[in-house]
Amino acid sequence: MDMNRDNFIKNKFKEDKYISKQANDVFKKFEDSILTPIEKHVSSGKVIQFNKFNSDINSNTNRDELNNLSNNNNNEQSNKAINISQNINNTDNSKSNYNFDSLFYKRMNRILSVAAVSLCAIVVGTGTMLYNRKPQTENINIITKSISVRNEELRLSNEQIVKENENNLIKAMLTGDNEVAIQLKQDFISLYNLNLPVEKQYKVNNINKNVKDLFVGNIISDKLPYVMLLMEDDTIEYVKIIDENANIKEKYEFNFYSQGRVLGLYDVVGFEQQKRQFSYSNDYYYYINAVRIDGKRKEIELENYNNWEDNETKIFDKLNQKYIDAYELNKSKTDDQGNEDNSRNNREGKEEYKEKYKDKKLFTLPKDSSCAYYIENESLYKIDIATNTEKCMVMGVVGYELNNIDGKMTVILYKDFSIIEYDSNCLYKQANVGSYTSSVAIIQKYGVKLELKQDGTIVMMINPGGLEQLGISKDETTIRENVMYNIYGAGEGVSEGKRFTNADAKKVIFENVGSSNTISIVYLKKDGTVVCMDIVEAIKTSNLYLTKKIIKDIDNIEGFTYDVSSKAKDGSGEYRTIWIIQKQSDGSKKNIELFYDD
Amino acid sequence: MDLVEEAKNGSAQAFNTLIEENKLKMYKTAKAILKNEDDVCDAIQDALMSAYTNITKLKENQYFSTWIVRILVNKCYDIIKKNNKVLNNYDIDDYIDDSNLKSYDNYKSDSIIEDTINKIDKDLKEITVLYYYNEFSVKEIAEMLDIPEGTVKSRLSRAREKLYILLSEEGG
Repeated sequence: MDMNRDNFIKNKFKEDKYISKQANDVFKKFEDSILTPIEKHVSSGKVIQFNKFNSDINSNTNRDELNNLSNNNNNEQSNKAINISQNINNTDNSKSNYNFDSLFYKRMNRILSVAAVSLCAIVVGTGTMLYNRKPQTENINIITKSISVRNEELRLSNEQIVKENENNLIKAMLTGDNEVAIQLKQDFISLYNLNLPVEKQYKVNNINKNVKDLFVGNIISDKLPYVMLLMEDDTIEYVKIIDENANIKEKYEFNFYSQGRVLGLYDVVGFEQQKRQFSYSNDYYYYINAVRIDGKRKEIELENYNNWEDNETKIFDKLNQKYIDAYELNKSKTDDQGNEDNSRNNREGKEEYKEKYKDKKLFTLPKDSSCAYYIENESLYKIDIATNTEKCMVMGVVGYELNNIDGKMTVILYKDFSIIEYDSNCLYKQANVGSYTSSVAIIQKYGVKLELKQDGTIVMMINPGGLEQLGISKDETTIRENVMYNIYGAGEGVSEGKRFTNADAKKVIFENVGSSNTISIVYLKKDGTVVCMDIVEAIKTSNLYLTKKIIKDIDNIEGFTYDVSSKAKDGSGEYRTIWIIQKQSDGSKKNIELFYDD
Repeated sequence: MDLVEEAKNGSAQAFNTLIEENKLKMYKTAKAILKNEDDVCDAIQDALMSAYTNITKLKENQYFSTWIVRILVNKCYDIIKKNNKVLNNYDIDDYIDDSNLKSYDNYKSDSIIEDTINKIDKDLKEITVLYYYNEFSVKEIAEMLDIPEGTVKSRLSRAREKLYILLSEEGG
């Protein structure tokens, strides 16, 4: 009896393979910490024996050394080692990696310190081994994934322009027929461990205009290539090769298509690859500048409306095909108005604060010269230049990004953060919020801004004053205004989904549901499921994966509408609510009213 | 040479393969003992670190799985101790206000099994996971948790009854 029940329970347990994304990340980071890229691609069952190197590098002595380092926080050796490991991280970290658990990160740095030396030698060892072609290497199995590319193969015979990115991951080609093709190179295939042929060229679909030039660069990480298409009208379209949030599992499908025009950028003549360092890590954030005909550079923000941020009127001299430097025009005008002295006064003021804060790494915002900022001990401080005083604005800062739309600064926060004072110059974003894909829908309503991203993510930000508008006190919730949050995938009724995966939505509506006017985010998932979230309750309970209702039994859902309902059940009159639009077999549409059971 | 031996000889890759094989067990075990996902992750991190640096101390290679889960269980209890210290020996549940409690109760994870385990008594959870997920023997569990075998058996019996009913209700 017990045996039968045990077997029944064991079988049930075996079916459950669920591991949270957070925990999976822990394992992944650990793997990344101890393995070289080469090791990652070698069959785990058939481990390369490094013979001489093996005993030299990874001996028990080294284990002891690791132990010593782990146990000794202050010795000089560990400090040196941390430096080594940070250098390694420099080359291998993408933007998504900055959300390390600090304790783990610190400890891993110590581990990595020795591993760093070891790994270098392993790489050398591997090279030597391959060069010598020892018999062992013949048995190495490469684990590959069943990946396909949806695009048709394109054989380019008349390539006109061929571009590759600096780290040799992909190649993009433009033909005389104005077709664009992408070839994934061996390094890319190895990096992502794919089962794809190297030589194939895939056609890029959905390009709206003629392309006159290409640029292959990286955004966010040096492992995330993008192809920029310079169009015949000097605007930009782009092709994303791989999503930074993508988890390339088996049956992953690449699909190369133009993601559409990058908004706000015109008169573009070229591109350049740039990178900048995060303030609180050694990681680099990669970005691509668009270069305008007058030489002005602007970081391409794929998900935002870009703005050349011209402060002066630019006059284009059509005859000479160049811009007249409007700055010079303005300057002479300024001189006429006698404003030179004021600017000198400002400079003197700036000198004073710079002197006082000369030990800090200060930064200023282009749109607000009255203040400066610095980050120290994971806190952001704001300096009032006029009074030379400072105040702490927010604690728990991972880093920041400038060059935002409206000239604001995006402050990236740890999971645990504390905003002490709001600042109109700052937008806050939690480090794990996936926001680097284009928005397909933006809804501003009820004091909340919702964005549906191309990758199915729904991102929510409560505007300043939004909590009050929703009738929620700041003390009731840990969800803060002016911070970007992910709306997580529905926890209920998703058999294989993960608790912290994105919403995987393709349509979203943000309106009232039912006669009780429950403000709700209602979204249609890509698998046809409708998820309804009572946003007030979700915020009050600080639970952005809370779902109030899930509907799985309605086929052919086209989308939603917000319309007048029949009279309320209690006879109290009409009200507006969200309706599901269902396409019928005869092509007609039927609206199905949405309401909560309670 | 088996994977454990290779890992002992310094192969990070072999060690990683062993972790891959055991990660589900590790997660489920930590999840059964600790309530908070962050704590679960901390415990796993600590256990991975500890195991990686101490694998040479593992005497019987065939017991790698038992060994690493044991390390993990210890790390989980370390975290509980630390939390209790921080909370000045009050029960952690006292610190969850009603609204959070409500949301926790209403929340269903993506795992039916996890939901089911959450429905059984606290003292049965870890035994359940160690026995059914990790397939440890009663003796091993007793040693691991430092409780008498009889206690393990009686708790297991209670857990079995409850789980059978709950899982049958879930649709067989």
